[in-house]
Amino acid sequence: MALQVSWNASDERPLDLTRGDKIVHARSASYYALRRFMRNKLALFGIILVAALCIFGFGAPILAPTSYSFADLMSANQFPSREHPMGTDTIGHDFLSRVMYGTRTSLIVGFAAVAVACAIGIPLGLIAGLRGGWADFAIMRVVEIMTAFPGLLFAIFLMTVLGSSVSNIIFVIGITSWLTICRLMRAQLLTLREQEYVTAARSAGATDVQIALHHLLPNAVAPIIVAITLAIPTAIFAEAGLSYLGIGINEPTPSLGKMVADSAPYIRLYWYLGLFPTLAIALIMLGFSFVGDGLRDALDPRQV
Amino acid sequence: MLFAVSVIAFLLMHAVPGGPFAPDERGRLPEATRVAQLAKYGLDQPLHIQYVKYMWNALQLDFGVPFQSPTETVTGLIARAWPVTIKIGVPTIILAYGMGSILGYIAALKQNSWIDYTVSFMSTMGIVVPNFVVAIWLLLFFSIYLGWLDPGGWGKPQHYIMPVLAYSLAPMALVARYTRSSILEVMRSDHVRTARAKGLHERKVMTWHVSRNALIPFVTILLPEIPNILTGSIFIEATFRIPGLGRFFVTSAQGRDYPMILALVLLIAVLWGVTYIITDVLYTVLDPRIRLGGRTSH
Repeated sequence: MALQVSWNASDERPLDLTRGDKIVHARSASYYALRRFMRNKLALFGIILVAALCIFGFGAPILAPTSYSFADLMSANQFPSREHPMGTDTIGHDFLSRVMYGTRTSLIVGFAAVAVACAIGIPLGLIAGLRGGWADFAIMRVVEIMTAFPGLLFAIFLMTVLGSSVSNIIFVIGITSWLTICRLMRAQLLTLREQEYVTAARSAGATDVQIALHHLLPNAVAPIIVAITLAIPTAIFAEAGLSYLGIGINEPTPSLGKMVADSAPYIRLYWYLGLFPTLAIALIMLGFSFVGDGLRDALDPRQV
Repeated sequence: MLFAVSVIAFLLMHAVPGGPFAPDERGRLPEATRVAQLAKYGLDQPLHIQYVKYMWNALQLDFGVPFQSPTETVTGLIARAWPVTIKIGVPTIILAYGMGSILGYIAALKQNSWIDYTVSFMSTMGIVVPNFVVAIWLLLFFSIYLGWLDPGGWGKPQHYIMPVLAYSLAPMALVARYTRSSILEVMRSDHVRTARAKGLHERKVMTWHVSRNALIPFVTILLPEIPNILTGSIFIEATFRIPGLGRFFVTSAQGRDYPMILALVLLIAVLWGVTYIITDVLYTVLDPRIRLGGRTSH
């Protein structure tokens, strides 16, 4: 993206510093992107929502009324009250604490799984885009075949092989969701590496690694950031979904998806057990999606 | 592609440690029994022979015997469960594509009005909120708060209402969003301005010049959603206790039921293939500039 400048001379003639034109302000593209982002109300709302949920989730060890595993059987199945704002579940956990820790699990899985996906997708995309040839061919065939393979079935299968735990679900979601990032990285590089400044750098004797790090990555970064932001809610959805089916995260680690599944048989009697965890999932998904959409609009104004 | 998917699925299933008759927490089978079982299902033979045999049978719609229910055949199980899923899928497709395109159309006509904003907001919600969350909300509202509908089950017409609603929301939102943006794009194009300028009736402009061209991105992006819908949602079927295809994804992956997993993977792959062919054919019908098999002037 080019530097956008405005100057005090009449706009009839081009900028000429020798004639005493002063640059009034010259701001980088990221400044304009940030300004576009901040003007987008939905995106701001998303940022606030995500921040609030992060405090809600990551603050759980300090803010939650009880630990996630503390259960008081004597006060099971209580409706929401001042003492238990979200009620208590069937074995007497304080439900607010459970939902807070569940949100934390969702966020951890979301961030970590996307980190895994990046760790696989970005280097592979870089290799495919820079090297071309047989490496590109091999990587793209793997991507194609994995795209054709039903992802959920693959994830369920891997989870049953590995067994359910937080680290396994992060690994499984990461390994099934790097395709978009890889494909995008490659596509970016294919257009970028034909640019003149890359040829110039190469003729000046820059190595492949230097070109990749200094010239290609910084320019390819905007769409990748958008893809990463939008991959987070997808990963959180995958965790909630797998846990909902009973093959994601198991007790005692709280997971929102598992909580929804566990409360499903009781919601006829205790509506709040179904409402609060689903509400938390929906808010997390909405927050990250608004931020992702806002970033896309801000970073690439051409896209609708 | 179909070949690649089947080979890889086949190898993957066999490459991972463990198997249907491997010793596990339930104890181990006596060696003689284990060998006999392996022989019975042909699991003692070399992989490539197993594969060729399997594909030959698969072409005749014989996918073998599922380990999870040895008294039936895979074909039988799928034949029993899939119609249930399709019965949910077809109304879902009709509702999602019908309502979605109407909403998107209205939103595009009344661009930047409150209707447009409502539709846009609802479609973001619909795309983002997982369908099992929507399903639970519908359950809470219709069968617990209002007490109108059974919370689950299968057989009566009223059992269709909530699953179809919950399942169609996400594709409906997607359809509405794409319809809106593609109609807006076409409405700004030159040939529509020309049509207006030569005094064509507004309705004729919308049906002949706008709607037909707006269908192209619609076909590209949204037709591939159909195989997904037709193979069902595990989440919806689990929530409303519908005896459809969805649960086999879970039970067969958990039980290492190779024949069943392979059959499901192939079923999905075939559906995808068919959809892509239909998509290509529809292109040529909608856009005369696109020609199959030759050079495209696009």
